[in-house]
Amino acid sequence: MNNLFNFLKEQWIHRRLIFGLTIYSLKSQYANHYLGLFWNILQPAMQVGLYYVVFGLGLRGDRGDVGELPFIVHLITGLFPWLFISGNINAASAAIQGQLSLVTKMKFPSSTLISVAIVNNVINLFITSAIVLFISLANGYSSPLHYLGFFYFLFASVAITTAIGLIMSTLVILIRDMKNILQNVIRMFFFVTPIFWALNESPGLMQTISAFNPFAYLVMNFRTALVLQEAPLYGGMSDHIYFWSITLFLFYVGVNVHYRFRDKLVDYL
Amino acid sequence: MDYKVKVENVSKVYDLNRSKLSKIMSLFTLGHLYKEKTFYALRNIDFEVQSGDSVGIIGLNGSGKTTLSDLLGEVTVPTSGSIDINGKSSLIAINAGLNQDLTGEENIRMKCLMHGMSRSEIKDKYDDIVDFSELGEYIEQPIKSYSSGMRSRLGFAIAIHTDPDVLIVDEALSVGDSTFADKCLDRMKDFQKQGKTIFFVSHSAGQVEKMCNKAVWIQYGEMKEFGDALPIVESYNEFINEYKLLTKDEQLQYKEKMMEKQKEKSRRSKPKKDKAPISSLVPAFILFLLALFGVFFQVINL
Repeated sequence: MNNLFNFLKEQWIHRRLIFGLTIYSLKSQYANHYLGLFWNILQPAMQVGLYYVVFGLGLRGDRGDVGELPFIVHLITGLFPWLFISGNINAASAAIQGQLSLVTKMKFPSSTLISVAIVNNVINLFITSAIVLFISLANGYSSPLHYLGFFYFLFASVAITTAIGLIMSTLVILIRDMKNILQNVIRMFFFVTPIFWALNESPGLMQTISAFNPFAYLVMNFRTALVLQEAPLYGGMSDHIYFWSITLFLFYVGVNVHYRFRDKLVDYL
Repeated sequence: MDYKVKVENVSKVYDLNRSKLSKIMSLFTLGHLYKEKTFYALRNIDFEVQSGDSVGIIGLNGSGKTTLSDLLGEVTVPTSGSIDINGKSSLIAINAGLNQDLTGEENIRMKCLMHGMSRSEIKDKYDDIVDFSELGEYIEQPIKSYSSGMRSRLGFAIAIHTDPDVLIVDEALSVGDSTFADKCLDRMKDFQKQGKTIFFVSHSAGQVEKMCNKAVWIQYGEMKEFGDALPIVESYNEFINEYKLLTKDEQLQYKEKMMEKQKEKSRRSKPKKDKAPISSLVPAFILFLLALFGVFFQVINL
């Protein structure tokens, strides 16, 4: 358990470093780009456009709206949180490997690299969520108090993606194949998570799968908070318990894997 | 006794086992069920250094100098023994952490941040660093356009301004022209005057003689001598001269013989295995049960 608190303490002590490094990583990401930060909106917008044509106009055709929501709103409230989650997992998993020369040559708290990756994505999430919020307010989809559920989504998704990132960031260095496996698993989850399809319209099998899919829980929480009429949180007691027990377990495994190997990464290259 | 750096019985073992499968096995069984093919890169190194000392670390290629400097810079941890450093140590790693797409200025600020400096400290030192690096207006250019000399000047300028208590310089001066090298040496002499401890890794005995008052001679993973610099450098020079007199084949034979000896010794001794105790799994097991409970709860609620 100690490692868990050490990890959290380390992030807190180095919070200024984390924010500083996030800014520089953004700067270097968009150095020599003409559109710069604008890509953070353009990239998801182009994906939404593509999925809307393929899944909405193409596959759904005349079935049109999802419940009371136009399909496009359903799509973005699924895709934006998903981009945040998958982006977090990808970036956090690659965080240490991408800075290997730094970690193996300098005394440096490598756990902060995972936080840098996540803070970087949180900025994107705020931008995309602002768009959803605007649409929601304009159409009166959800009452303002429900918007607080967004912060629950943020906290929960940061928790589970940090946990997965901690495990994977070490594993991809020790076993290179993990990177390919991870990419394929993430792609798989894109299809089994209710992003472009709707839970209440789908057959029982998909609902069963979603009950065990923590990302479905997260995406549905985002959607519920921002555009649905229901209570601020999605899911029953069993969903909450399932999600948090899995997350806690992954987090525990993650910090222990991380602390066991972080001083010895050089020996494993 | 107030020491600055105390190295106590330090050994560093590398694993020569390249088989991926056994490494993965070791990973999943927490170090149990795994046969290591050990190699002692360093064995029983033992010395103590006071503040104000400058210590040269000399030895042939492959004798373990870099391993020792990594350990002193706290980049890796020793397999056994302990290193106690009073204060902050910094290993000069010129290229580590520099970002090719950012400008020199941004790199200075970022790397200082990584060294744990506060914003106001960075502000204070920024001009000094630029002056020292002699980069002038190029500081506004992204460093991917820099020559290797410019890059190492920048790296060295940053490293030397991080104000460590213990500075470890590993062959860093082989880059840059001689005027810049002299400037670096001058700066290190300032450090000495301030009572800071410097470790100077080099295979050039001349530089060590000029810079250091103490020396460690590492020979194939073991500490051959430690003490005042002059006598050690002398005997090291003698050794080198003898070594140079040998023919190429004899030199190779000598190297192989010594390596074989080092390996033989490694085979005989069994280092403490890096195992996590089974008891450390108890909380993980409890949390695993909790997760199972979560799954179960979800199943009955379907």
